[in-house]
Amino acid sequence: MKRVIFHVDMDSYFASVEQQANPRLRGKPIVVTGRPTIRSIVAAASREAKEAGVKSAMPTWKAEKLCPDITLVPGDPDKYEWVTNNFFSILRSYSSRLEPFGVDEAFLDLTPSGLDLRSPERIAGEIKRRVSDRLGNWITCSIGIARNKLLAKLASDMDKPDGVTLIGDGDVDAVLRDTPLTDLCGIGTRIESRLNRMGISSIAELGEYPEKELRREFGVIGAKLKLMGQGKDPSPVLPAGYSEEVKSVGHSLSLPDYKRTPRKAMPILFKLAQQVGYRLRKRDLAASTIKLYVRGAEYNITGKQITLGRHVDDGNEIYSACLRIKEKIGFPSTPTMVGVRASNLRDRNTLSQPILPKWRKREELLDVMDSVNEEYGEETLYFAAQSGSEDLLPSVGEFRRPGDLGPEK
Amino acid sequence: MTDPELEPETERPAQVDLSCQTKDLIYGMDVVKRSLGTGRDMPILTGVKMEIGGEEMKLTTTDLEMTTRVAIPITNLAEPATVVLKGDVLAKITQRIPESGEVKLSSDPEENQKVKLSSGSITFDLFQMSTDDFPSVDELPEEPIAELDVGEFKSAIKQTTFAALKTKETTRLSLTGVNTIIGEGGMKMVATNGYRMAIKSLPLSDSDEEGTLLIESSALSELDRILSQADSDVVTTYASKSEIFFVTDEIVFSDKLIMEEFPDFETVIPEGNELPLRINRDEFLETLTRAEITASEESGAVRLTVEEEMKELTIYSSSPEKGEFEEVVSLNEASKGSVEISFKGEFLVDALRRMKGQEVVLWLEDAETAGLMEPAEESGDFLYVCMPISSTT
Repeated sequence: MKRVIFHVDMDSYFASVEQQANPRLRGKPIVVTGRPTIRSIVAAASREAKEAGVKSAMPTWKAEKLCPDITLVPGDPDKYEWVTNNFFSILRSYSSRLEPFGVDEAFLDLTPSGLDLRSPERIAGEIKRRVSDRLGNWITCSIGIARNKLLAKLASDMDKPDGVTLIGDGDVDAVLRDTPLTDLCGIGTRIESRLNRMGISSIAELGEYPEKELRREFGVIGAKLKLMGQGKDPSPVLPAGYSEEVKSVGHSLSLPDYKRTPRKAMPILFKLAQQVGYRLRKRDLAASTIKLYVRGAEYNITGKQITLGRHVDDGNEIYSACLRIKEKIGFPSTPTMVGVRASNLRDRNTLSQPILPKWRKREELLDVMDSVNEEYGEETLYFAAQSGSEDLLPSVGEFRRPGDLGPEK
Repeated sequence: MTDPELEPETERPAQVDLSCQTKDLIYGMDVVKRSLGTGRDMPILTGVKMEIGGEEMKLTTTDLEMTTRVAIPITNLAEPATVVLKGDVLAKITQRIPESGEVKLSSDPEENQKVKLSSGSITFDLFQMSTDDFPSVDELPEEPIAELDVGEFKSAIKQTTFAALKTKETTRLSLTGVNTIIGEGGMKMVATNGYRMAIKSLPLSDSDEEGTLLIESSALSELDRILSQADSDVVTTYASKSEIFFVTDEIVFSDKLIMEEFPDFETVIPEGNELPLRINRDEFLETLTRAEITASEESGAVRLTVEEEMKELTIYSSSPEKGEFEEVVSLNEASKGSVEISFKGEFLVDALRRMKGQEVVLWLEDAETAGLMEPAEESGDFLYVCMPISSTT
């Protein structure tokens, strides 16, 4: 199967984020320095500063010399984390096979599963549009598309900023001929000079060099260098960090004293079920096993799970399943904690569409609710059945951060 | 001294002394065994009630939802009596004794807790269960609602039950049933698992009954199995508010109806699909079973592609772990348009296996609209609606 790999790279990342956050900095040469206390090194330069010759890792005094009207902006890690989370969450909506590469780059495996019929370039255009819509129009990215990670990374660098470059099968030879060795990710100046000594000065020459001798010189990475020289890279896109495969999604809540009756616990259970549904949809998952567990006054936990014959991602259905379990196990007279867990997960996109028009409407409704809640804060919209539990909002959530860098509308 | 005259009648153990053909008892137990209860809450439900009359013995089992009764011929040498024996024990015995010859059942006046079952030199002494505990079985309603041809009904069951939701735990109980609508001189049976739907229509002769019954699909499958053993051409149907009964000469099978509303299935049938693909059924089926090999484990998706004016359908499947498949199937007439659509292969295979005739017609519209499939020959009698797998983004 021919793979389709994207490399998505934010343009002048930290500097663009600062310019997005502060309109006065837009269009001006700025550099983001290290932490507020360490101002001596350029962590990132805006495209205007780059035009004046300012580069990353340059001492700030040198940047100021090259570009006298430059503004030094101290780095703000919280802000970048917020942007990075949003950036990755957009990418993750295209494929769960997402490999973050630093805070501002990622590989995405978009090998067609036989389902998405659009061309890679169109998908790339949509990703770029969504990044700007969500994060602000000053924040752009460049996308490289190729058969593997090596070439995709090369491609994303070919048209910066704000470009889309596809290295098709027919383009590979020309690219290998014309690209300097050090443009390949993994070949630094030290490896380059060793290669030069062996008489290799272009990628194409590297690809033609006998593997045996490369192995003798470089050991195991010799074989990898040979493949790189041929524009090959079999390494898979490895989902890392929080994109690791989720086995179950759950929420539980210890009940405050005034909620410790079965009747008062129900709206909370409803709310937990909705949250589990939301988190499933967020990850494009649906679950067929639902577990309800309850802790009584003596800290005895009872619980039971049932496996439905179908996959669900709607909080209401998760709640209905909880009610069925509750019928079976009963509820302690003084519940002190309730929890809901969904497992047996499956990618939502692999399911056939619901057959009833009203179920499809329901899906649309939930999607709209989700996007309103993402835009304006959790529980901007919620079902009346959970009223009375608003104050019990868990304070930490992946998408709940201060709006210090709100998108421009 | 207690006066024996004052002993209550029921205290006296039933006297049993009968014989029957072994094959009749084997048949009887085979018919009733699947309605045995688990006995977790009510141990008596694991029993088979044996009502011994003059010339026949009625075997009854029930799990309180499904109840099956069958009458088998016997030669009774004692008074009519009723005993309850452990159902799984009796079922196992009938599977492991020689099929030829006779079985004798008798009670031992000395040890009245037991019933002796003998076949040739084989003897089992079986404990009785309490006859009084066995739940009473609901009476048949007076008027039947339909008389069904067994052959036609069995194929209607096969053409619908497969499409229902198969699970014990669900938040959508109605989908585990086959919605059965009687009226306008016919019967319509509809089943769906939420992603695909099968609709079968049967004619009913001289019926002016009307009504809708949501029948458990698992019960219908069991009825299908029972009717395959039985030797009847006609099955008569009765219904009360909460129960459905199917009756042949020797069998009464009943099941509690699902007291939920079935989804409005008429809204599901696509009406505007304008692209009919006429395909040889066997070829289509075989191709799809090949396509399933490399279909993604998760989605089971197979992709169908047709181009306008072409007489061929391309079927494709792929998964990163297994590889790719492609095959071109010829259409019996050139396609009127182009479309590319993905379905869960299993859903199409399920339906094709249960269709009759050489040719099927698959009506498509676009990638997002349900496909409608029907056999070319029995057009209108059997409709199958299948939702596509949406394109991912």
